[in-house]
Amino acid sequence: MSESGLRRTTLTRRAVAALVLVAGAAGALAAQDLQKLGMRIVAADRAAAAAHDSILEIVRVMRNKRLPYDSIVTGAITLRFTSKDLSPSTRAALTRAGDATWERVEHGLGDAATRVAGRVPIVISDRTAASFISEARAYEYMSRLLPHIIDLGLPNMPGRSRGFVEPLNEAQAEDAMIDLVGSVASMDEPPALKVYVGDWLPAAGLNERNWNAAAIDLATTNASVARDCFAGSIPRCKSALGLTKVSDPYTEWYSPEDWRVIVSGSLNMGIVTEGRRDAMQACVAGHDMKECEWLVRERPASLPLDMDVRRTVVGLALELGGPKAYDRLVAAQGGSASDVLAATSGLGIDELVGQWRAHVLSATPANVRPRALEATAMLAWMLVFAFVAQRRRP
Amino acid sequence: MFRQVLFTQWKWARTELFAYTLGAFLIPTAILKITVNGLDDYSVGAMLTAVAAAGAFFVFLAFVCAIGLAVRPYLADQALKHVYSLSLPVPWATFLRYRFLAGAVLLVAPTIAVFMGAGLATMTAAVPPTLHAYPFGLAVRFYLSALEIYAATFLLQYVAGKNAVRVVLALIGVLVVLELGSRFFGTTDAWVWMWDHLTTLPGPLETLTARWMMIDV
Repeated sequence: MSESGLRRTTLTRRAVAALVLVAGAAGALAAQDLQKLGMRIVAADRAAAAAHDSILEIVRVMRNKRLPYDSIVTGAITLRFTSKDLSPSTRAALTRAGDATWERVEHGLGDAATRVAGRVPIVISDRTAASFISEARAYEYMSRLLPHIIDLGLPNMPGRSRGFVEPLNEAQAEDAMIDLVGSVASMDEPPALKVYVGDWLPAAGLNERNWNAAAIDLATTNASVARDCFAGSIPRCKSALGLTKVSDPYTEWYSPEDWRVIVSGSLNMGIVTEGRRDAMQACVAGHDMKECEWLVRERPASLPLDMDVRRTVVGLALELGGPKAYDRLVAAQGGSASDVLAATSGLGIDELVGQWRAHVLSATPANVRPRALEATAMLAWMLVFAFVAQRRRP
Repeated sequence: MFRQVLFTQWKWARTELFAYTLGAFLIPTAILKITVNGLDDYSVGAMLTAVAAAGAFFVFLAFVCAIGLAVRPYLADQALKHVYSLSLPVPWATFLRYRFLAGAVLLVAPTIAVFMGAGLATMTAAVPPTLHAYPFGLAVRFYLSALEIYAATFLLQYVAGKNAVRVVLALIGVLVVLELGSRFFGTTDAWVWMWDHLTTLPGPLETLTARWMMIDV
């Protein structure tokens, strides 16, 4: 073999060896990359799934926190929608409820209606009943099954929010809006009135339902002071309504017989000790009024008439006081609840309470016997059914 | 002719009418006696709870009376394949009118029993001074409600014939499907929608949500 031939052969061998080495190294490298690649693919898949879930979560949060989409103004009331997912029928129902609310607020607050109703917008948002589910896929699935909820609230006052399942009941929406405007109206109320009726004023006047509820409460409460009021005593009405100073509510509001009724109501409730049970039996079965008094004084005395009944007095004062009544209510900052109500109505407190009592007694819901409209509807249905029945021959 | 139809229906239904009448007369008094016995004039809450329970009984009784009086004559006619009624010398519509009126007249018996039973119950119970007894109003409500349910059952029975039960089941089935569909697609809740329309004036079932109280404010 010549020298050049030998050199070529050696080069070829070196090249093959290099190729083999490269090939071996490439094989080893390829095997390593595939393993890594596989791991990376798995990791990327996991990251993608996590990102997907995060995006869905962000979408869900954004849906609830979306910036105002648009607003509708009815009178001085602004309805601010925070979602464009609301159905046209829901938006229409809310608009009609807003119109009805404004009409009632204008009637209830007179000259101050625009100022109060326009002070804060009513925020309307939506969510599904599945919003408590944190897992994104489960949320997406459950949100199809569970109902859609419309929330009506005030900005920065989450406690006032009320939710309704779709389809929205217009009357309920109207009630909720009136409730919210009532909360706004109470922002400037005098401290004594805040204690008297809480953070809410009947801004939209009073309706038949409010008076009916007051009539039922007056007739059904277990307090002698309310029975005396029912029978005609104005001073006792004032006491029952919490408009006079009461030093001992147990004796001023309740009679010994009432104590017995209160104790009998709790006879079978909760766990009581043997001695206490004996005292209860002595009170209820044995008419032992000392035992009754001891048992009753262990608990706080409940109001003879509830807060909603008190609000009917405030509502009546606003109604009787005319267009400037709310302004006078706000101006009477230093007085007692009696003083504020007298100033609001422009009447003496006795006259106001007398008119309140007359309203309540005339509102007693005697609806056991069907009303004329109800009876007519029943007879009409009966005639329709009977008429259709005789159209078909066997 | 009407007297004959009335007499026939009276013969068919007199046993159950007697039971309805007795129940209407005695059960309200029994409920009041058992639940408010030993309490005094001021226990308004206990009294109203007892009266509400008696009210539920009256609703139940109105349904039972009405459905019983509507179904029995149809079953008797159906047993003879309506041959007797079709062979009478009056048009079918007139005959059905007589049938309907006879049932409406027979419903008066339990209504009188409701009036007397509620009257007896309110007279024997100590009614708190702020409450009032309404036996007459309750009897009027009972009669009108029973009449309406009777007419609806009469319609179902004479239009759907022996398929009446199947029609009712089919209606329930359709409602269930609608409800499931509305849940799945997130549209209007069928049950709520239907219940609202049936129980709000002028809906036919408005009477069910009324106050059936023999003693009330």
